Amino acid sequence: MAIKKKRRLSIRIDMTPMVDIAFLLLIFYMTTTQFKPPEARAVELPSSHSMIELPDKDIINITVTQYDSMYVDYLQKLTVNIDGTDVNATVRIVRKCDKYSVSIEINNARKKNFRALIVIKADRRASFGVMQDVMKSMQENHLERFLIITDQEVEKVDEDVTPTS
Amino acid sequence: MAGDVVERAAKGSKKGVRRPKRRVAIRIDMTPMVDIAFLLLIFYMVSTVFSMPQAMEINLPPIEDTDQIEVKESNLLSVRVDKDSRYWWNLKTPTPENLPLLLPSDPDKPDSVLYVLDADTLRSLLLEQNRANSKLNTLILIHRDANYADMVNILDEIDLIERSWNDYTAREKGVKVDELTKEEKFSYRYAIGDWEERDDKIINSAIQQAVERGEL
Repeated sequence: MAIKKKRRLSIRIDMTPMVDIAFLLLIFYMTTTQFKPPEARAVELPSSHSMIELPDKDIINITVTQYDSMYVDYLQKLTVNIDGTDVNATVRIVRKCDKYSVSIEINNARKKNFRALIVIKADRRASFGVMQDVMKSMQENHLERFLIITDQEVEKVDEDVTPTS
Repeated sequence: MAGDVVERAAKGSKKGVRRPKRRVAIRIDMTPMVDIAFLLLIFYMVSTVFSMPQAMEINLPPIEDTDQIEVKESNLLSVRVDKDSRYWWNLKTPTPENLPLLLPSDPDKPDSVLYVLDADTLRSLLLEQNRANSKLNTLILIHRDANYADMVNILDEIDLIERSWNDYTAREKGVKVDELTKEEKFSYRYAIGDWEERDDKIINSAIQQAVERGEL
């Protein structure tokens, strides 16, 4: 037969760019991933349609669990003297409090960082009374503006909210 | 510099007397490394959750302003949440003839023994009342034993109405939301009050009425 034998082309794909991209993505995900720290006090958040993003620094957290126990926590910069050299360290301070001491703790925290914003992370099952006490004591301390953390609600709003129907 | 290179090259050529070392072409099999890389990549991609919890801003009135605020009887809408997280609403001040009405439980969850708030009903109630009366003031009264989520639910609906309302007005006028004047901007007037003993009485009568009507 005069049919020309087809020459097999050995295909060699250069995998270098693919591996480059793979590593790039890998490094990106590795560096950006922050594992959710295991929470001793799990909080089930209420949901809302709000879309304000939570700041990640300069915040004073107030955690209210479903059993109405309250904690104030914040980051504090400390300078520790170790063997004659000053070492800067950031420590998370967690203080358990109740409706009477919450404003004292907030004031202490604010003395260390005046720019700090108060963020309340309360369980949806926490009683409203506790929240009312917290809000009252914040009002007395002239802290009228604060944020509450919520889960984003996926449910869509079906009707159009307009001034007239 | 160039001379240096030439010199080195010359030295090299002198050393060339020695038998040139045979270069072994090293070929490392990269397959396992790439396997591991992809494995890690997929792991991190899957385990990364980008959704950050959202925040809701709350602005309390300054304590100096929390004195009695006069509201005309006809402009009052009150929403009460009792200790079992049931929502009751009424216009004007409640009287035996004008008892708070129960906001119907969520029809999508008929199996639930407990009352489940239907957020859509709450929203349309607040919206309709505000459409009907532009001077409406909403008084929110929540029992101390109700859930914190109840407060968030109501505030969320109010926030949603306010935002959508202003978005609509801005769209109609062809301007941005920030460009709306103070008169054009809709801000929902509401206050969170203290639950008092008489509210317990009001709700008890309202429950009785709802039971008689077969709503509860």
